[in-house]
Amino acid sequence: MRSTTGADRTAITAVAVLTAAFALFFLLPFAGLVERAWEDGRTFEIWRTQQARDALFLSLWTSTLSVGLAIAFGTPVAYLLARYRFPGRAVIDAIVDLPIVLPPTVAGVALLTAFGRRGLIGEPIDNWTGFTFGFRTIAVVMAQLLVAAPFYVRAAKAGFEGVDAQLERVAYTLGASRMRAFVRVVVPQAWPSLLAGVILAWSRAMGELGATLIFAGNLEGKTQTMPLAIIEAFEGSSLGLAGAIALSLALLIVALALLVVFRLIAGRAASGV
Amino acid sequence: MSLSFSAQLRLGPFAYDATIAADQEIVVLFGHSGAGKTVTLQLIAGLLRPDSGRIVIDDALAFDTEAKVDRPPQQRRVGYVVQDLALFPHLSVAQNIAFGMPRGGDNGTSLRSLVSLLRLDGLEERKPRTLSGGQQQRVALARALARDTRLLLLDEPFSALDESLRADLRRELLRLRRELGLTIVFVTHDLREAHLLADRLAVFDDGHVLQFDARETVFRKPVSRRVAELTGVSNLFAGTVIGTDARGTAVEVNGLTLYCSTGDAAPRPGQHVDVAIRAERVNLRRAASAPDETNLMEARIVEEFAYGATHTLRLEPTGTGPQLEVELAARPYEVLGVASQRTWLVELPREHLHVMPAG
Amino acid sequence: MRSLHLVVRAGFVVTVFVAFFAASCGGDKAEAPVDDPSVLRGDITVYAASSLTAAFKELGATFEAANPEVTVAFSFGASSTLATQINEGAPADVFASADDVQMDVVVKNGNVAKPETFASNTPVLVIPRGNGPVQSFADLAKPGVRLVLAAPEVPIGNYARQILANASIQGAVSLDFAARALGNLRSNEPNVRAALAKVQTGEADAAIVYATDVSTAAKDVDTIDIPPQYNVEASYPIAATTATKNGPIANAFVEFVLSPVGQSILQKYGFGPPTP
Repeated sequence: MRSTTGADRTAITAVAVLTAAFALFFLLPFAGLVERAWEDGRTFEIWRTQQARDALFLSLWTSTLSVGLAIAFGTPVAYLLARYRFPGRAVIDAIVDLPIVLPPTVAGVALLTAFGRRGLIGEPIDNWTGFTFGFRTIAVVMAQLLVAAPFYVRAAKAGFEGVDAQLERVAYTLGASRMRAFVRVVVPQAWPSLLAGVILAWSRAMGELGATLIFAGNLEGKTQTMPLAIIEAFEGSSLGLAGAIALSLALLIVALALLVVFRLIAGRAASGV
Repeated sequence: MSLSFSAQLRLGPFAYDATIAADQEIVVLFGHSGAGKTVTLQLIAGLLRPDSGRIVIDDALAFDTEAKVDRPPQQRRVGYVVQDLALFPHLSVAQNIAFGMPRGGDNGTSLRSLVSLLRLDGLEERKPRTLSGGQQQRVALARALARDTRLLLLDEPFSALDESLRADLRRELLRLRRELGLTIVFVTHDLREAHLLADRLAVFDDGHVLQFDARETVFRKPVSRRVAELTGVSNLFAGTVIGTDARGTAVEVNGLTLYCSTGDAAPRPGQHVDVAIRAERVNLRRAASAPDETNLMEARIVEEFAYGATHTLRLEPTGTGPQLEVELAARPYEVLGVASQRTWLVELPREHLHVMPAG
Repeated sequence: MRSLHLVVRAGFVVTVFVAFFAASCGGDKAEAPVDDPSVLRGDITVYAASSLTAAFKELGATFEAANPEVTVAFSFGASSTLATQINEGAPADVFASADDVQMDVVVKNGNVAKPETFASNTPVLVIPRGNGPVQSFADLAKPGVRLVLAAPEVPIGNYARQILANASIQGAVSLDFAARALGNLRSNEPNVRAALAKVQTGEADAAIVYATDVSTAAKDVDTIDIPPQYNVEASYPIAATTATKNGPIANAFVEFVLSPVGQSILQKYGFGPPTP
């Protein structure tokens, strides 16, 4: 066995202590949540309320839709950024990354200035068609899309960059169209990165609060997502603090479940492929 | 399956201009790295677009600047094997090979026949990374052939393999060419490989084709000093033409008069020329066979390299004549007793002395 | 010798670690010893409804000027949010709520003792400047109107719903007025400022906020008075918390707010006197 010097032992102890502290810091909040919910006893009752079910259902389907849109629009963008040099590429790259560094409230205000009733695009649309985005569920999807899509695009871009372009070229000489080469050669290889991007984007969409509040508003059933319901409960609505805890626990369980499902899919794909 | 190719391209400081052709033969593109050999294959395959040119593959126009034709790689019927093979790592051997096959065709039989043709039976379900180098090569070849194409473009396919494997695969390639009637354009920087495989040889240098001829012509009658250098001619002398008579064209090289063979156009007296003779064509002699025998000089061995099957000798002239390099096979080396005798009469046979314009 | 070295190194690491944690725990400032009992020394934190922001900032500055050894810090927000936080142990010394309901929430948990009313406020209807669909109080029931209110637990949200209910009794606007108006509700905003912002940006056609809020948004919004027969008067209570560590200062601040000086400051900002 290798002998460890005194200095090594100190380092190892220090690392162990710091790691334990860090891990505790992350685990304690969740443990506290579970413990309080259990103790309170009203958790299941709260989960059955209309408000809770509305919020959960809304959160689930809007984030799924946002992530779906992120994949649909983000994949070609990621591919272009990964493979081609074109004028303005650096600008688009920066714009795609922007929502990541922006505080969500800023994103919300930005959406308002663009799509609000007096916004850059919102006003003409309102004048011509009478359609407004604010207070509608579509605004929730837009807010989620804005903050979550960049995570997917970034991950997808890295994934595509990691695939040897040579393989695509050979595929072309074998008669594969660009689309077929993309689907049959690039995606199967980039797929772990794509999946990671989807997970990141989806969790960001599920947790989105600031932009949604400012752009979409807060109305049960239409725009009140889980995070909004939790905030409202915390601030003393009929659900109360117990409601905030119960809803938080629900969100935590859903997030964990989906994470597990994703990992299982990834695991099966990785070993199968 | 025939190929007619002519293309010009500018890539930054690199200027490319080449014309070659191939028809049911192996055309080897030979030259240093960066000379334009890979660019040629990419242009033929359609992965690179020339600034101007005309490419015809099997009587179908693939590219023509004037006719404004530019078919994408998907529509050019070529099989392209790149240097690192680019096998699809996530697909099995069978899936790799079948990738280029048209859907709904007689997939089953073609696949099976290719697998046995390239002797890959039993490996169909394996993934590329579990195969040996030679097996991977054969999969790449099979995949390229799956498109039912008869034009194969091979880019230094054997460079990463060891010698015995390369020998096997070269034999394989020649067999395939015979059995399938393939036209092959083969890129290599290995002179021996080029000599072995080429029916015709295109010598590339700095984006241009210096000579495109039958193999023997390129090796025996290089058109310039540069081609001679590139094809491994180690004896290149600068000389001046004296005149032409019945014995041939007399060229003065370092005070020595050498009678050389030339092509149809005999050079004028006083013209500066380069004379080339391959190292293996120089003979060591004990004595002249006749008093007026020409193309003889006396030289002393100053350096010697024993390569096992051959010996390479460097000789300095004792009187007139140039420095020489001589290559001897092991047996003649022993029989002549070269090890013990250092001074020799060296014969440069007229039929192997090739004259080229100086430069 | 080696082991001593080891101990010293380990000790250093642990000390750094502990120091990091201690620093982030952030101790409360120890109270300075009071030499003169009549001079107030120390800091207090006042939790106040967001509608009190401007007024209380001036009250705080004035109080500090009169008591140089005292600092007053504020936390503004929806009274419902503040009440929840106080009940969860937030370090408030004084609580000023925009209605009695939220003050009761805190009283019920034993966190304040005797609240006193210190001001009143009048809810008004605000609309975006220009020709919107809402030009009068009754227009709130028009179909397609975008109404925004604060959430029901926020005092102004509660007042607004009371006002709508008042307008729905026999002889008022109409029996179904509240139902129709609330059918136009597009969002429950977390506090009054957010509701006002929605009108300022033109997203909403109308909101019910306090009269005192309008000045901050004067150029973007127009005000419509709510018919006094339906309107309610907002009643603002204030109290020192039971958990305060600076009782004397907290009580002094409450007294200051109730004093003529404090009252005149409040009225300067548009608040009314405490309704008896």
